[in-house]
Amino acid sequence: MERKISKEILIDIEKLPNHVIIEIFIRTKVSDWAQISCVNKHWASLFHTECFWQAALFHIYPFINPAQTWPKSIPQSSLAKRRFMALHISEHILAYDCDIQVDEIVGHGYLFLKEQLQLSIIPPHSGILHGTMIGLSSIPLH
Amino acid sequence: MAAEKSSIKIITLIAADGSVFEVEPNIVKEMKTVQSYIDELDQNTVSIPLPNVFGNDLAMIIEYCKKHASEEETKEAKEEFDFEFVKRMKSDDKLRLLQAASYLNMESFLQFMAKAIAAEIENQSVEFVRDYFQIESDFTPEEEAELRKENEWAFK
Repeated sequence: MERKISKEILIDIEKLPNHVIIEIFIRTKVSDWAQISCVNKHWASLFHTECFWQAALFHIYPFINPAQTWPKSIPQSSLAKRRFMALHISEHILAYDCDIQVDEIVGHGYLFLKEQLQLSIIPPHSGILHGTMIGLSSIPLH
Repeated sequence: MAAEKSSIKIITLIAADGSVFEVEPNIVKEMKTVQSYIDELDQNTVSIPLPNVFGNDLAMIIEYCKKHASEEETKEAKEEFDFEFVKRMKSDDKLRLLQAASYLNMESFLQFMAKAIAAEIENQSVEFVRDYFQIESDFTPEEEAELRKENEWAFK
């Protein structure tokens, strides 16, 4: 409120809070994220924040229980890639055909994630993941 | 206290260029920055300066708030309004309104603008996105090449 009145209001995206930038990111296609993360160092770093992935998860799956989060114990190096895969694949499967049996997709999604998690060196928080998938399968479908 | 607050009839918003807008209390509910300012006062009339928002932008924001606060309007009419609202905006308008929404702490309007902006950068190149947001890359060419290589699995 103490800023002086100027003739013109400049647009400065870099001055916006991170959560505002993230609001834009999560509304782009998952397949656009790799491009967006190459814009500059700040934007690249946002894709490594919990804040971003959490927002993305709740944007794509709005029915999910807010208490459920991404599993935390996956090694950092491959975390972004695996999360990308999970969202990218689920986005495409769900967009493919509205009449497709969503329960079946959820089942496959669960198996895929379980398999992926078993590949990671550190054992995952199976409880959290399990909870997340139960959250997904309880989405009202029709 | 509660009775006093509800007695506020008109709120005066003063934009950066001095233009004045008189609005009803239910219109500014979405503007949390303004609402918290009102909540701190016990006056019947309030006048609030908004030095970071220009008149033209404030007029658009108020128009949006009025439409969405209205109980008479159907969901379809509001969606139609949103569609036309975005259609008449240039890229700069969207970015400026996003900034204003952030400053005014407006949740749903901010999300609405974020969606409109996201649609503009969909399927675009890194160069386009930088140009769109007027952001300069601070990567060295080597760093950028490295990052692009790292992200190759996701590039189409």
